[in-house]
Amino acid sequence: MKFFGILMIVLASGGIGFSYSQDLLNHTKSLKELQQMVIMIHTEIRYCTSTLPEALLGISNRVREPYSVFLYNTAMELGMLEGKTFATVWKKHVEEDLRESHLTKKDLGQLEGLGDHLGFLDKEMQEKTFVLYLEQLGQDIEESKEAAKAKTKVYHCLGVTIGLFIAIILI
Amino acid sequence: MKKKEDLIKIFSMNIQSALKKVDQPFEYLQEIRLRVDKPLILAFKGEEYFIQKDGTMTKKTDGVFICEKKDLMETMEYIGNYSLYAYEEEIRQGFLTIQGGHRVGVAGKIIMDGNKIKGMKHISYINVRISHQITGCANEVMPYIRNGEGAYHTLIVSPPRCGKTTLLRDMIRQLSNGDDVYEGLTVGVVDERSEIGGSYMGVPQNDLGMRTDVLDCCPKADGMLMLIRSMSPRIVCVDEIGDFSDIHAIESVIHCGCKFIATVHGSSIEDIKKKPLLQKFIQERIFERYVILCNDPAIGSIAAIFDERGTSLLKRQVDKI
Repeated sequence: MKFFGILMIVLASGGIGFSYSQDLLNHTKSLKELQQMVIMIHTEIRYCTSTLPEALLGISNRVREPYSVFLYNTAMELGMLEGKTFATVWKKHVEEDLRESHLTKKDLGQLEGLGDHLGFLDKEMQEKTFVLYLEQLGQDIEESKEAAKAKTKVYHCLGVTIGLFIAIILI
Repeated sequence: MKKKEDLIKIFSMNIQSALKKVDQPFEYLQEIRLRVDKPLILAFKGEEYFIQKDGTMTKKTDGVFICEKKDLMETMEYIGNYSLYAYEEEIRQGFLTIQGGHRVGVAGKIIMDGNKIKGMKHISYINVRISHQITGCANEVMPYIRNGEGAYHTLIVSPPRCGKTTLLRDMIRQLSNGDDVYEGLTVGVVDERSEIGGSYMGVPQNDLGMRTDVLDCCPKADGMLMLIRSMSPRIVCVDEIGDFSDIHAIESVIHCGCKFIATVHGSSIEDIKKKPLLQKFIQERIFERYVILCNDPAIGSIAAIFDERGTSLLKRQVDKI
């Protein structure tokens, strides 16, 4: 029984360590999907001169959840013309639809900031806004990858070690 | 009325509140004009009115709704669908067409790039011209333009704001759908300013008939050539010819066996004969029907219809070729 209990503790804490490391990997994956989504929006606007609601609606069919839900809901609400600015609608849906994503508060804040600068500028400024945002996002992805690389093994080892430590104390 | 609700949505919330209280029939509304720090103006049946706070239309300026700068900024955001960058070309020309086919004219500070107009900023004047589809308004004209081969080459001559685009729209619809006597025909439309079909995301918001293909926001000359190469139309229709670049394309359309229907600004045959672009076509009797419009007794009234020789087929005003 004791052995079984020790095994459970080690597995549980090892699992927690694994979960933390998985979060890091998921964060990197989410950032890459976000980057893909923003590149698509940028391309639609740059080459097709699509309006923002058109671009968002079209791309919502080509990305995965939660981004597809975010884009679709934003496009639908923009189309209703209910007296809200683009930035207000964009921010609302970043908060509501991407809450369960693996993006951090910092990532979401930056995405909200992108919405503040879209729509009312000329094409050249739109272009620069996207380029700047994608550069920043690229850096964030690199940092996330580095962090995942460095910390994944640490979390795995830490999880198992803490489990063993607790087990020893209990014994 | 749904169309009124859809139209009002493009304005700022303040202006929407004022317009919702107006109880005049929307069908007669021609224009809505916004100017910074000036009264909101509505044009009904050729007359201009201001709006009081309770929605009453008045010709006096006391206590009427005044447009603020933020109203115009908010309105432009909605008109541009939150994407004014997508309308740079249109704004450079001074107008854009929105869902429903309504034309929005804008004025403000022009940004120059050398001798060219690069864009516009500080938009302080907006004029929304309301598009109305009047189904059946071409009924009187159709017997004169249809024939066994389809239709005659037709030119609709009209002064501004006399309903030429509305008439053309209904002619396209009737030609496309056909009737008990004549079969429906494939019609190709080059809708350079999106006024004929009022296309939104490629789909005409006005009824142009079941056999109509539309090239939206396409230059007329290029569009006509594209249509005859790819869509096999029996009839090609365009609005407001007036460019020399249109001549070659019109000749191509006619020489490949298509019929051609267009509109042009003018008040009479004599008036359009003075236009260099059209002199050649009139002298060579290319156009087989001339439909002259006027706004008396009402917008869209047919003043006269002539054939290629100037023989009057329908006359309400005296006119000569």
